[in-house]
Amino acid sequence: MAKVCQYCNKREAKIHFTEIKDGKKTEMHICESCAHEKNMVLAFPSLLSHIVKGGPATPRAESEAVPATCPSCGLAYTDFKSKGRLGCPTCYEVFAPVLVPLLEKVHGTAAHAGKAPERMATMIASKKEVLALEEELEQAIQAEEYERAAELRDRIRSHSEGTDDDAAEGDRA
Amino acid sequence: MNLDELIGQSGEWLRGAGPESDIVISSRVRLARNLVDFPFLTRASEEQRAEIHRSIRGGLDKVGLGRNGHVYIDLADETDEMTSRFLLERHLISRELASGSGGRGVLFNRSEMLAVMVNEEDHLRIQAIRAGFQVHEAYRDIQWIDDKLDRDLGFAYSPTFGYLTACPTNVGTGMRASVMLHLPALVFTKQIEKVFASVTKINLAVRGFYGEGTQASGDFYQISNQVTLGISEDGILDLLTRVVPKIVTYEREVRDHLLDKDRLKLEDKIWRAYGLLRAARSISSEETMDLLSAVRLGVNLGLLGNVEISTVNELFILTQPAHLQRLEKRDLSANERDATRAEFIRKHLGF
Repeated sequence: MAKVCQYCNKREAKIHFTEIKDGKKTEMHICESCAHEKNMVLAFPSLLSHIVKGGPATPRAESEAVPATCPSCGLAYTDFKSKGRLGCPTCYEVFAPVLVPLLEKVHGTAAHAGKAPERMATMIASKKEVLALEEELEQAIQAEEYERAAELRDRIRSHSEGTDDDAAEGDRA
Repeated sequence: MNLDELIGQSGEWLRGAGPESDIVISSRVRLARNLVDFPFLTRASEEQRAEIHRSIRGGLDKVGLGRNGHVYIDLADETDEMTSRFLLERHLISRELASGSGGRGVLFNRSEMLAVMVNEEDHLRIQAIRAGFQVHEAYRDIQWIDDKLDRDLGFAYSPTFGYLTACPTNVGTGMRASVMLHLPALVFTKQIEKVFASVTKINLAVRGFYGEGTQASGDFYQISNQVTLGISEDGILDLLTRVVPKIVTYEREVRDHLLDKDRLKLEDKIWRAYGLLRAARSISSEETMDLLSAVRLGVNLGLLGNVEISTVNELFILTQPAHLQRLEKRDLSANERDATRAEFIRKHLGF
């Protein structure tokens, strides 16, 4: 007998898969229309199977769903799957659920450990300083040292102006 | 500077200088980068591709790479396929860039120690090549270019994944560091497979003379890092610094062993190769590579005292098909190429 979609409970389920979450298997049955509506293609293990080859299964990759296309560049997930090339920087965020296990397989990890562009390093340093200044400001206010507080506030403000400029430069189209 | 000026010479990295240069021909480091404001090339329209090309050329000019002995070859303008092949043979561009289409090109300097490919698989491939074993120095050569270009162009970067590249196998540092090794003794004694097996176990890849997917030729092998993510730039360079000297030592030991135990056989192989190269009237590219490899070994072992190592190194490149045709200034049939090659070699080996 045909199974009914677990999302809409109306249409006939056409997509069947086993979700493995925290080691627990759940059979899933979804209709095409619900799958389409949720804008997802299921990340079936086929993407990884040829790479994994005898390695431990990655349950997360089997259960997670990703959007059918990247909203920024329009790359279809199926295209990435077949050609192995991403379309734009945003693809890395959008397809992260399948990308992370893939990167772990290829590189042994999915976390960058190399250099950062200087502008990033400056931004991170600046953020840290602002946090320290804000803490000082808090203390100054509590100690009712208003002159010092005003000075600290100005310094924080000059920082945020600086980073706004950086951001604007980084975002320019 | 135009391409014809390059014909009779080779890149600095082939001059036979540099540490361990009897075995390590060259060290190269390349960084893959993409502009944050554009899609990667597979998703870029023709106009975007042209705009990326323009932006990068502007950026290169700004950091001072547009002048002083630098040349930019716009491959979209080059209708002559021979130019791409010529650059490919010199290791200045990749096969992917050579066979690509649309706005793309390469910038390099007179010494050919720097080559920046535009619109290859990624928007930018910044590459430094040094003679001998100098991976750290090669990285230093391009680090400043990376920083300066980033300030001007803004590279796609994520704190989690690092520098973002079209292919996930390059993400993170975007760095490929490789050394070209000449390992005739390990090939001759069939020890080479052992080396490959151990090297691939520690995340290093072995490739042929012209990189990914090419055959090993003339006993040349390129060894490079397999992994680009989760390891720092220095970590990658240190990995090569730890492993390459071991291979170099192994090759030297086997050479000594051959000299000690199999001297006649070895000398015979080397002198026959030398004799053939000096006498041949027609010779294929493949045979040339094989014979030159034996001659190169002979020079490095002091058995062929009258041949310069730089001459042998250069012959590996200058006898390639596109180089011969550029030299002759016309298309040559395969037969004509083999005859021209033989004559060219005879001339360079003193006959």
